[in-house]
Amino acid sequence: MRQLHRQGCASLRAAGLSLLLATLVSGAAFASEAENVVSLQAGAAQMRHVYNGLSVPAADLALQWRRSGGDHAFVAQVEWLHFMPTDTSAALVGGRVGWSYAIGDLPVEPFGGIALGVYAADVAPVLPIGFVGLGVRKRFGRLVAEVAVDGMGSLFAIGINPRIGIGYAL
Amino acid sequence: MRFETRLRPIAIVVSVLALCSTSACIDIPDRVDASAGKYLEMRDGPPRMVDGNGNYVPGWWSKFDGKFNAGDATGEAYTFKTWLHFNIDDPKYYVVAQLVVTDIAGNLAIAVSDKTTGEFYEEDIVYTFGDQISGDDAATSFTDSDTGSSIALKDGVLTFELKTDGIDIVGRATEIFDRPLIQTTAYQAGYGDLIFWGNIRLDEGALTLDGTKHTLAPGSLGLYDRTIGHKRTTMNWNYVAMAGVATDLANGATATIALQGSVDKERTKPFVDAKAFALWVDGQIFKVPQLHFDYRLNDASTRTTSPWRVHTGSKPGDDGLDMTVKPPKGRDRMFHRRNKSAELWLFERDFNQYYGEASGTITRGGRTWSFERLYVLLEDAYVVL
Repeated sequence: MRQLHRQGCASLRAAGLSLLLATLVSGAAFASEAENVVSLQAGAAQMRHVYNGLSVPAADLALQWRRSGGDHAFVAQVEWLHFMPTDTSAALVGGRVGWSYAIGDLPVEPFGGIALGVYAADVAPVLPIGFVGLGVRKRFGRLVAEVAVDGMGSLFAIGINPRIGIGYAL
Repeated sequence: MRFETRLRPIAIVVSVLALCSTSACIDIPDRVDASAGKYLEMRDGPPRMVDGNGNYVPGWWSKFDGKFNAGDATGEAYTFKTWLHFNIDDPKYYVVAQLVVTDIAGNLAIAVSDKTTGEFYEEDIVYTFGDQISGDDAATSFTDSDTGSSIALKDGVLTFELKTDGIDIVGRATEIFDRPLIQTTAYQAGYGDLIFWGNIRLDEGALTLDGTKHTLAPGSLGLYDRTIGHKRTTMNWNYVAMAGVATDLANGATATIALQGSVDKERTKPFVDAKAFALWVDGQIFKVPQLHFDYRLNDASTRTTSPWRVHTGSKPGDDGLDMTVKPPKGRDRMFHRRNKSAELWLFERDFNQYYGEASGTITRGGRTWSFERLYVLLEDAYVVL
């Protein structure tokens, strides 16, 4: 019976570890002509439990730093995710790090990436959330505007995290 | 670099997103036909609780000597739960305690209601992602390595020792009546549970509340609940538990009676009319086709209720029960314990217990027994987890 218990968590642990490794490897994306962009990201999120069907919305606010070299970039952000289950609310405060890839020589740059977030929550001192995202950004001189959608995965749930960002290239 | 090559990482990201989104689709029927379970017909237990296709074998069993092979069920491991739970109806306190093992957590919970004042004392320890609480495959023995607590049911004797910061309970009780309600309820494919709902009489026991020790009265009646299975994740139910002494209206003879029953409400998914209820009169178990809970909410926000009528809808003279549950003597409302909470996307619950006094009649084999002011536990619950 105990073996049966442990099966449920194994795949999540593996997914989390894969994301972490991918994020660490992304450090290799640094190049000599690196660009640093700081942006404010705001959006929403919706997580759905894959077994019990609970679907919970959230508000999302983050301050992001992106350091890119060529098409690759390292991304880090501190973040506040405020979930709103029925009749209550729960704030997750933490951050995420990740790697993104952009096709940078187009008028509107498409980009995609992965990230691993770690948050403090009442239910668990360390709550991991993995992200896989797509977006587009456009430059206006030093200003960068972007729209993105991340898929999210965490404890028995997957979700979506649409957001917009306004950044400044340092 | 070729444009197609540069697009490849983004294509991979799109594929991962698509895979994740499809994994969120789990199709659970709204209702499952319960007729195959023949839940009103007591039969010999099957050789194993889960068949070769990974489905629970449904039915009401006279006994179960089969294999506890819940691990062969095809239901998601996440939904597996097993517990051993007991209630004791002491003259001064109503005691409820349990040790629970789930796929991702363990739980030690105690709730004590003071029958005089209505005051509740509660302890609820949850071990998320911990294995402190363990139980055997048959759900007859549970231990909590963190607190040193244990509950065991062996050879018809329930022994328990639960230790928390605020409440300790220790004691021993003996199983009574001819048999417990033993039933396997099948939900959707791969999901189901095997329950043993029995009755006990306390041999000895003590309850310590905030450092003050109270002896529990020997002879107090109570119940136990052994459950093993892959549970539904959206549950909405009414439940009743009661035990006491009734008087034969014809000749004044007395007998011990008991009632335990759970009925799905409309928000349960899938809804199953599994007849998970039983009555005991003078030591003999029997079932009736229906169990109804009639009450209204006085206030939807607080979920305070009117008095309850619990009945089987039987014709006069037929086997059945009809009782009214009112507030305890000297009170204008039933004692009400509520746990309304939610945590991220993990769970949501609005769990309500009501304690009151039941008066009514129970009829079995043409004999009608009357009872007055028996302490009763009622539940109105909605839980998603």
